[in-house]
Amino acid sequence: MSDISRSINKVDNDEKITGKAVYIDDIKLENMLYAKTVRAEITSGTIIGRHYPEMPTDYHIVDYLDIPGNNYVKIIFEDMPVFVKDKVGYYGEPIALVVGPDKQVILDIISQIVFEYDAIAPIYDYVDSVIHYDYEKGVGEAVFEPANRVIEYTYETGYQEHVYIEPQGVIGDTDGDKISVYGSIQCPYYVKNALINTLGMDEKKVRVVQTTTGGAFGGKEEFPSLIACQVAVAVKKIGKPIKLIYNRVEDMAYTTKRHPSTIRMEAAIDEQNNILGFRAHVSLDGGANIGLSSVVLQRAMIAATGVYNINNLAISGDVYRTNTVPTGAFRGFGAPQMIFAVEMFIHHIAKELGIDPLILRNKYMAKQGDSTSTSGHFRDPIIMKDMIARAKELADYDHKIKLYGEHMPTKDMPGIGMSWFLHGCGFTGSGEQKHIKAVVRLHKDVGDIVTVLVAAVDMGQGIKTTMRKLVAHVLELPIEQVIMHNPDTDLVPDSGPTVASRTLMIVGALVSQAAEKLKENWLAGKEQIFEEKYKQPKYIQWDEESFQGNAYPGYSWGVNIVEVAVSPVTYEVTLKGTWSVYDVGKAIDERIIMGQADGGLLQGISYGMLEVMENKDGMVQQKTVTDYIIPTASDTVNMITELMDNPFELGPFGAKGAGELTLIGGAPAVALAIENAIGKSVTKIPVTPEYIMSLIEGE
Amino acid sequence: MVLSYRPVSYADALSILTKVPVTIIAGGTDLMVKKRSWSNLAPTFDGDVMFVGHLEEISYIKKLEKSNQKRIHIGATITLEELLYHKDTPEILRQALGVMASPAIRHTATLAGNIGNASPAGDSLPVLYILNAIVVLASSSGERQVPIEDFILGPGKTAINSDEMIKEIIIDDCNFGTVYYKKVGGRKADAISKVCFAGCGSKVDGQITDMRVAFGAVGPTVVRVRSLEEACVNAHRALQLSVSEKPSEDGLVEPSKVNFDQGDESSNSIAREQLDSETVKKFADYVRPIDDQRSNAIYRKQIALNLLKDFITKL
Amino acid sequence: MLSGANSAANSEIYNKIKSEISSKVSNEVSNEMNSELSSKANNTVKNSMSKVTFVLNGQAVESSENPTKRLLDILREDHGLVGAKEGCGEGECGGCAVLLDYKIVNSCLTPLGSVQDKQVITIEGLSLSTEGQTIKKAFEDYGSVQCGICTPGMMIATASLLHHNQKPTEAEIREGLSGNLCRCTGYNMIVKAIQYLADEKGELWC
Repeated sequence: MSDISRSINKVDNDEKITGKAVYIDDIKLENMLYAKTVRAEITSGTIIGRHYPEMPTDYHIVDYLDIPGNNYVKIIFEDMPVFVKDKVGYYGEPIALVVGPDKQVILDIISQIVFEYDAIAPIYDYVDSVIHYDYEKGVGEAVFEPANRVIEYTYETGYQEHVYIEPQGVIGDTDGDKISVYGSIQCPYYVKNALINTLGMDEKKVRVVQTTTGGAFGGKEEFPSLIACQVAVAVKKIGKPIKLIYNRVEDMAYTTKRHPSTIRMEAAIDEQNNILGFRAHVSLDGGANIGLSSVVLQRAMIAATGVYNINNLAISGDVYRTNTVPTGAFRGFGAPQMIFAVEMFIHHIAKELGIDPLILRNKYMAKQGDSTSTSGHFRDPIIMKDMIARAKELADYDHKIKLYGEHMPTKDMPGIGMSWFLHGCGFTGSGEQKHIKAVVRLHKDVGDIVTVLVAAVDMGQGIKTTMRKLVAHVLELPIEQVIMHNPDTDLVPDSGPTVASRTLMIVGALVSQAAEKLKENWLAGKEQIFEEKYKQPKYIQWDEESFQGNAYPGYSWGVNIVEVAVSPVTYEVTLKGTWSVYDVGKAIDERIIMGQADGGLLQGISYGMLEVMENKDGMVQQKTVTDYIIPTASDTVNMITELMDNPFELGPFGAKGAGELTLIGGAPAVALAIENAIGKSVTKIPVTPEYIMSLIEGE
Repeated sequence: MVLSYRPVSYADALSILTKVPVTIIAGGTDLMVKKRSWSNLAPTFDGDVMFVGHLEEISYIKKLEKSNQKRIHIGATITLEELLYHKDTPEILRQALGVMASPAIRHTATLAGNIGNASPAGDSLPVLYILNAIVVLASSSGERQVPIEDFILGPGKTAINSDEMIKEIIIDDCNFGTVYYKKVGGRKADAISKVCFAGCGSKVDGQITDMRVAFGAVGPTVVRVRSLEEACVNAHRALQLSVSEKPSEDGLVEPSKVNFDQGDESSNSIAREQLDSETVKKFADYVRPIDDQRSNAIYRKQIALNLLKDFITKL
Repeated sequence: MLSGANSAANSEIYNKIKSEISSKVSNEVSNEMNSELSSKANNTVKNSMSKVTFVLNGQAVESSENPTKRLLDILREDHGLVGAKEGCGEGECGGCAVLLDYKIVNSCLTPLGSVQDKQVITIEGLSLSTEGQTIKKAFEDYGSVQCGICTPGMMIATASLLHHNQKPTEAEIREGLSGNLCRCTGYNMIVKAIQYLADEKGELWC
């Protein structure tokens, strides 16, 4: 049997390349109406008066009064209204939909709608904490008492907007009895559960179907539940199909983004320059609705020591509510913020102690068997030492870091930086067992065609190909005999959301198990169904209250080296090269992982140096792709990437999570490279030319 | 309902202009964004439009010499991409074109459109200013020529009359010793300028004879200060003369033969540095950028002056 | 009603809405006047466009739509050619790219009237040609496709680039793609596919 990593032609290449793939805005249903969102024009306050114009026939305004069930979107923290009733939490918050057949008439109606508001003073500072956690390891805070020295730094990270090239969109439809929602969605069952809650309908009367999704990166994890609920309420009221597609400005300004953060790090140092312990506080800006911010905070806090083993910890964190657009899931989910802080911090500690950062990092690098930040254990082999050596060799790192650190006067200021990082794969702690409870099915028909029935969504990461590959390999069938469709909740069980880098590692493992069972019991020419349910491995003991135990079943690891040149005239940063090594256990398709690696690293680097989104008076300032800068092909370089196998015993064919890992190291690597180039400490991202200038000119 | 006109010829276009007020669409790459509405609704032009992009008669770039003046004439409808690859396009303009927008936009956008749009961040504008561009406006009653600095009045505002269209742009045809163009955007391609700088100059026997600089995106319109350019050239000449008045070894002075570039390095270069710094300082008063969603005033100003300094040093 | 402390801000918003309504009304009036003028002028002005004819994927077509309408909308709504996507509506992402006389343009910025007598090729047309099939194979072999939303635009950009430059350098390839945004791939596997096409299949574009 051939090596599963060997790449194959992706199963959806043909339709995507020829333009035949159907995305939500490509769909037109008979008698379909259009919807546009009417939004709040204050940042905080109450609606005290509504003036709707006389509505022409066939046109409707849909608002909170039309909601049959509950007026909140079922996420984790249930504070997001489907339609604002009275309290406005952020500028642009949806108050209503105007629905009808002609778009110009809809715009005319919207221009006649008037709301009266009682505005109250908005909050933008981190003062209203809605979620608070803290945990300790070893002696916790007490380690700071005998400390010879305390080194303290505060790091800041900004927003990151997903800029999936396909904006958000859904279509709702009904046959009079059942409501269906089609859309660009990562989590069909999240949407279904939200619809059940908002429509007050039985689960058999609600159906969700994912359409080919043009990028998501977490931005379509929880947000689609909001627009799905809005459109479903409208469909229930009006009884016709309704399409709601966001234009790019709406999407940039009013959908969820990565949490901005402020992270204060303190290290207790003894007389021999040992790191005795860390104390850290993580502040996340949750925006107006908390949503799943608690889980983002958890993940960030758990990542407080990065790849290092630090014996004593006192970690705390808060999610603050502010009158700004709600923040939410984005690839990495709290880890990119924290890993940036940790990687910069260990370098800044080294600088203050006059030690070579590499020596300090190697000293505290975690080894197999070491305890994690939450007093669990790194059960599995860690091959970082080999990965680091290989990355350094590829990049000629040792030679360059010394040379560039000497700051010879050159036409441009070169610099090189290296980040080490990890990502806990799967849901934090007992999320899989307590909340998700994944179920998968394999269906074989009388023609011996096997269909994979899971709720997992292919959003570009290639799972339609890799999932089918897994099954084909186990069953020793050609891949053409294995099928997987875009999930339809009428047809697939709830195998959980497409998030947390869990799809191949957790869902794929269950699918492989089902395939093994099917193989053992194969009956040619007969219809067969096999189901598998998630069982939490015994070693995952996790106490949610105290943050103690094994937070994740396994970890993926990575090394990024980034080389830059900084212009001494304009302070612009040019990427000169990147070299990366990743341990994702085993690649189910090598070319797919390499593609994920390129894309993730560029998103991470871009998060670190290019993407600026500011909030002024509660309004996003960069709300077009002209103003919010993401890289073009001219902004990047050829990336050198290698994978090192380190099979994970619970992953299918040894695979671990890969979807988020490759984004996490980019920002610290590029920030460290710029630091090396300019000889000044970087404490915030994005490291824009404006910020570089302020560091060099000492403002 | 908005009417669209498609003239069959350049003369026809001028004739249409006398009869109805129209918005002129060449490439449309600025207008179609400005006027955009919801998908599948027509853009919100509030009057009739006239398409001119297809008019071959005014799509050209040609070198002409008139009364010993060498000039380049660029027709209104030649696209940026055609200009980029044309042998007669001056190097500094080529550099600007190369970093404008994207291939897709350059395939239909025009210089005339860039001028008509009059954006403070227009990438080609600083180059046109230093090439002493003249905008030729045509109507059915004739043509008039307006220097570009008088044509662009402010952001989005020009001196065009409602019965006129831009026919061509005339620029200097010079062989500059040094050309320098730098656009600083948010990224390497397809970006709006934060700061933009164009400089060109020439030397004869080490003496600066011509120096022109212009800044974009640091004010409501392009900043070019001819008086300071002249003063800079004169100051360089004065410095050179004072240097050359140092007696040579045999006690003789030969001012006209002194080559600044080969002079006594240390004292010359210190004096030169000082002069350059003073020049930069004088320009600083004219560079008054703002804060906006793309960058801030402090950065824009500093970089504008850094670029000026870099250019002068290279001159 | 409006509470005292905030009435200034609120009446600002209220007045803004009111003035928008009234300007819409006055726009309507001036539009009426304009169209009266135009129709008067029409009697003496010829050449107001009523139909636009062009060649679409090799076939002659005619449209009576408003000539200022975006080509993107004509393609998607009137011809069912949904391969061109609206990713931004401002000519930045390249998701709407088509070939106009074999040069890449953003159809979201191209008014219908501009394509009179021209050749428009969309991804649907390109993918049927030998060039399109060749680019497709390269994209498949090099892993250039992830979520696929930018892919039709990237195909168009590749065809346009190679048509004008059969031996592009890496920098020229990146430049040729600079108007097409991709958030998934990091671009490199697309660049490599094009390098392969330039090295091995260049004769197709001569």
